[in-house]
Amino acid sequence: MKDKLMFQNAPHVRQSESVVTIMSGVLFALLPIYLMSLFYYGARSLVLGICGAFFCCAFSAIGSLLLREKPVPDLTPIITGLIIPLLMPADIPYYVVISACAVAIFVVKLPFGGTGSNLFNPAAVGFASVAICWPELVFRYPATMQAIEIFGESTAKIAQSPAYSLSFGAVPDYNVLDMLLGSAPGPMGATNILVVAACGIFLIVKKAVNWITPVSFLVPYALLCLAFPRISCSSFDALCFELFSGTIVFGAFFMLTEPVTSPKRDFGKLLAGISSAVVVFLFRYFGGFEIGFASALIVMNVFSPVFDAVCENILHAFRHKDSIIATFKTDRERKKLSGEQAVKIVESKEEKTVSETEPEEPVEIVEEIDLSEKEESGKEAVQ
Amino acid sequence: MTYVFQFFTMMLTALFVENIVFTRSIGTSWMFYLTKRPKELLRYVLLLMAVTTVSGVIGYPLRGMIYNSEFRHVLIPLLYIAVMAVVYVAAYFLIKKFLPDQFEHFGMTLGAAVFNCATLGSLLIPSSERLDLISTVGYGIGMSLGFGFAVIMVGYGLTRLEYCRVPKIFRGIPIALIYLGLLSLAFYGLVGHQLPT
Amino acid sequence: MIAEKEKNGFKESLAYIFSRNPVLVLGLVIGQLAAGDTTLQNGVALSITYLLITVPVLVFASAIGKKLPDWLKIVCYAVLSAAMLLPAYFICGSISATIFDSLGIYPALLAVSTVPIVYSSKFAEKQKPSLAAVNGLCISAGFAITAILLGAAREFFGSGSLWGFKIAEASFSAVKLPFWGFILLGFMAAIINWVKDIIKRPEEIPVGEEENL
Repeated sequence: MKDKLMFQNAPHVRQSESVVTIMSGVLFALLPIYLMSLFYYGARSLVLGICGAFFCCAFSAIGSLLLREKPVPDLTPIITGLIIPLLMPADIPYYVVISACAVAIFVVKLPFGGTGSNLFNPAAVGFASVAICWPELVFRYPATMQAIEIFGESTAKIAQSPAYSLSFGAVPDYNVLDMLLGSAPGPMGATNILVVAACGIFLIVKKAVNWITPVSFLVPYALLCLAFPRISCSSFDALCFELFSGTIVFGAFFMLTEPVTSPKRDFGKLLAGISSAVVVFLFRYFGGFEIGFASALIVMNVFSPVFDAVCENILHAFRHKDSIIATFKTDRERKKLSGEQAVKIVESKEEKTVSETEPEEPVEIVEEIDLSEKEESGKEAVQ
Repeated sequence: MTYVFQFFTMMLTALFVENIVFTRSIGTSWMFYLTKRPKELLRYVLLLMAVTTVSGVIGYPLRGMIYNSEFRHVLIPLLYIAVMAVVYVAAYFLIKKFLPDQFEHFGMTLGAAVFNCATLGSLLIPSSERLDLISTVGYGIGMSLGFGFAVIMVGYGLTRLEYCRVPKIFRGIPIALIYLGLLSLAFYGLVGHQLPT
Repeated sequence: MIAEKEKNGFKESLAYIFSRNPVLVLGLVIGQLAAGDTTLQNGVALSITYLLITVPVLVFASAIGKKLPDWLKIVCYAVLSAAMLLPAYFICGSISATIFDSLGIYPALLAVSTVPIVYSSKFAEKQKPSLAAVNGLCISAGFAITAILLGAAREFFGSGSLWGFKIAEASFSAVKLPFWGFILLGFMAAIINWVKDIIKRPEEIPVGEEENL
């Protein structure tokens, strides 16, 4: 059984060409965002992107040499390396980007088995780890429309980002058009909402990304922000500030939709999107950092198999609803009747009562897997 | 009313912000043990909750006497272990008499379930932060629930590792530790740099 | 299962230093190391505390453990190991006066870790006191090697110093947080697996037998 079926995460097709073609769509969609940041911050943003992509590729090559595996040519390290600088300010020192890439590749990707096996989003973990280490560098944004020196200490003017203003309940001094066009300070790639959204729609049209995930994340998040505003201004403005500050839109299109770490079924993606919205909302409102998206994403990645299992149960029940309704009816009849009559009915409808246990099957399978782990850690721990 | 509010605030703090496993890193070996036995989890969490609550209430008036002692790093653990010993002996005989079926399940591990890092840790942290009685009880209950939460999260992750092509040298303990570290990182993202050491 | 192997004598217990390292292979005292072991001094202090707790408890268990009733055993082990914190406090105080303050609650948690509580009642009671003492020494040695390496690595990368002396410029201060402790321990465990793999490879153990080891 195990020889014929693949018990692995997506992407299932492992010929290098097809993985490359899927990922090249994402790569192509990232280019306009880099062009926009080139316009706002000068050439340093491009150099940061090239630096990230190069080091991610180099690190994954070194890792596969150390593990003595045949290196598989794929584009996922390049995408990781391109996404990481986009989450950071444009004047970030290079060593921060390089350490984020090192964490993403050496801690998240290689130990879990490379492309297709990473349980966490590498870019999110890389960003979160450096954000915890150097918060004063990662959350200090330069003002837009100024060329930043490519090398050396940055002397760029610092501005307060909308996400930071929101975190202590102040109204940002930018209007909605600024937020849409990206002239408000913020992470290098996540401020130009229009461009990011256009690239995301391009990905959806190209079918590199399923439309359910971003929509089911952004709509509940907007509703939550409308229901619990943090600042006192008109509700439309407040909604725009909440939605367009930080990395919400960028993350919804480029990080949440990563095929490996998201649930497999459409219904599971819907559930995951809604609950990610709730968790991101809580992390942003009560978290210590103004950008809680990356941490919330790591927590949600843990639960994506849970969503798969839950929606499997529900769909199973939906498919077999006739037999389940029949068993409910038998139950009701059984309660009405008593003694020998009830036993007779149960005997006559034996086939249908069998289906009563079926919807619970996936749960049992999960438990079996839990118990039958081969050589996992705790086996020897207490014995 | 304020007491109820204080109780629940402390409980939620202990459950998420200062999660016993992810931010305090206490009780990892028990956690790995329990991820293999999900059916024992509820029983263990209930026992943990009972032991922390009872020992916290008994130990509260006693610990005030030795706060300012020079040897408080030694005396407070000793005090709590003595209190836990009393609770353990009481639990041993009570369970043996009134719940003989449960006693069969616990057997030898009842002792290990009472004397471990998770229990002592959820007693020592409120004492080192000098919380009052209500916060101590709330903190203990939150810690126990947080422990159960952590076991569920890590258990799901270890299940999911079955589907990964983990390299040979990382199988077993290494990948479980890295997984735990990454989860812990996510919780630090929530807390920020404000965690007291 | 493990108890039968233990009977083979003192040579077996040497395995606790490397190939059955209590932290990296058996996964026992991870939490205390991940959170408390942030500098070399802390590592040494934790190792001393662990040594002072483990050896007396294991010897006590093998000498009189069997004669005690079932309910009293674990109580005795726990109280004895907590009492051994006192000499540890004095010895570690000579390293640095504030070392127990900086370690917080973690030395106390060593007293209720798995070896003094579970290992003593499951295995040490069936051994002779001399073997139990050697076992305790080897377990603490394995623990000490891990703790010292981890503490040195974290102090060096975190603040660029060793034993409090400045050596280099480094500012990766997040390495002192518990999650980096977990990740570094994970990589150390992987290195042990790698070395074991290299040692075993010439003997060509057939597939499937390895999993039973």
